[in-house]
Amino acid sequence: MATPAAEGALPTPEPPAPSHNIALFFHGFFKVVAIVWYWICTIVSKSFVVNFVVCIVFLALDFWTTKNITGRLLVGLRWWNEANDTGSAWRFETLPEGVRSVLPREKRIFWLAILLSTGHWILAFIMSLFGFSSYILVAIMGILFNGSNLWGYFKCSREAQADLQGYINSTSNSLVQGAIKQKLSQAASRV
Amino acid sequence: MWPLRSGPSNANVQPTPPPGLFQDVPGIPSTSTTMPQSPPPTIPTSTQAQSTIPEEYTLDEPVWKTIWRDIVTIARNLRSVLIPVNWKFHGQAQALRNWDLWGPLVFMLILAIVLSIHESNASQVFAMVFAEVALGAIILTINVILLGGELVFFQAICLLGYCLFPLVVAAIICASVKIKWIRSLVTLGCLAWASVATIPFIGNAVPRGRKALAVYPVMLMYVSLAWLALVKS
Repeated sequence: MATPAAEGALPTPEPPAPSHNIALFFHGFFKVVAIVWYWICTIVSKSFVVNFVVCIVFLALDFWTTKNITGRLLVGLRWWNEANDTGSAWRFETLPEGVRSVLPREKRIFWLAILLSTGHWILAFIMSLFGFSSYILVAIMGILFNGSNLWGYFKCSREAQADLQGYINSTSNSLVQGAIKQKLSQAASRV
Repeated sequence: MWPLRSGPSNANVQPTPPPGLFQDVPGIPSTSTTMPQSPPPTIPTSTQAQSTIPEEYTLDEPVWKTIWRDIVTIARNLRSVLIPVNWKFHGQAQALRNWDLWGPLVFMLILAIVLSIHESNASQVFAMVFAEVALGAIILTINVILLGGELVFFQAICLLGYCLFPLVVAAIICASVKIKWIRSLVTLGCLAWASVATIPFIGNAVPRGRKALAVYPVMLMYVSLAWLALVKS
C-alpha cells in the first residue's frame, strides 16, 4: 500500500484495535467443554454412543468456531483449502494494512489455547493407547480437529509474514519502476 | 469450502454459479504497476493506492454470513453429488471444488447411530462403523492415489462421505421397517444410487485397466455397510 509519505508530515493514524471478548470466551469455552466432557463422560452416562457423539459435537463446534470466527476476529487470519485444476490449493487471508490491528493479549490467548488443547488431545491419545479403550477414536478426532487448526493458522501466519516482507520489497521496486515508466512515456509523447 | 474466489487461481468457471454472495470475483482489477503480481496461493489482497479492503475480504464479515456460506456449500455439495445431473468425472470435480467435510461427518455419525441403536453391543457396533467409514474413506483415497489417479485427497473423501447419504437413508428405513422384501429392495436401490454416484468419479480418475482395482474396494465398503443395515434386528 502506498503510504502517502510524499504528502505532508501527518503520520498515518493507528488502525483501530477492537477487543473481542465474546470471541475470546467461545474460543476457550468449546475447547474446555470438550476436554472436560471427555474425562467425565464415563461417570455421567453409561452409553458409549451418547458420550462419543457429544464429544464429537463439541470438538466439531470448537473446530468450526476457531477456524471461521475466532481466528479472524482475534488474530486476523483465515485459512482454507480449495481444489482446482492443479490440485489442492491452500488459501490464506490476512488483515490488510491499516484496517484493524490485533491486540497482543488476544493473540497470546488464541495461540495458547490452540497449543494447549492440541497438546491435551495428544496426551489423551497416548493414554488411551495404553488403556485400550475405544475412546481412542475421540482422542484421534481431537488431534485431527485441533491439530489442523494449529497447522492451518501457523502456516497462515508464516505466509502473512513472508508475504508482507515480499510485498514491501516488491512495492518499493514497482513504485520506482512505475515512476520511471511514467517519465519515459511522457518523454516519448513529446517526441 | 469458500465460494469466493480471487484472481490468480480462478482459471475455470463453475458450471452453475449461484447468485448473490458467491459471484466469481473477476480477478483483481487491473493489476497495474503499483500492484505486485502474487503467485497463488497467497494473500488475495488487491491494494490499490488508498482503499485497503480487498474485494474478497471476509475477515470482518458478520457471523451469520459465515454460517450461511457453509450451509450453502454443504447443500450445494450434497445436491451435486447425489443428483444425477453432471456425473462425469470432470463435472463432479468441478462441482466439488469447494469440498467440505461437514456433510460426511454428519452422515457418518448418523449412520453409526442408526446401525447401533437397540443392539446388545451397541458401543462396539458404533465404534466399528465409525472406524470403518473413517478409515475406509482415507485408505480408499490413498489407494486411488497410489494407483496413479489424479485426485485431490480431500475432494475424494468429500465425495465418498456424501455418497454415504443413500446408505443412511437405507439404514433408517431398515431400522424402522421389519418386512424383509421392503428392506432388501430399499437397500439394493440405495446401494445402486451410491455406486452410480461414486463409480464414475473414482473410475475415471485412474488410468484404464486399473479401474476395477480402484472401484472394487469402494464397492466392498458400501456393500458391507448396506449389509449391516439390511440385517439389523
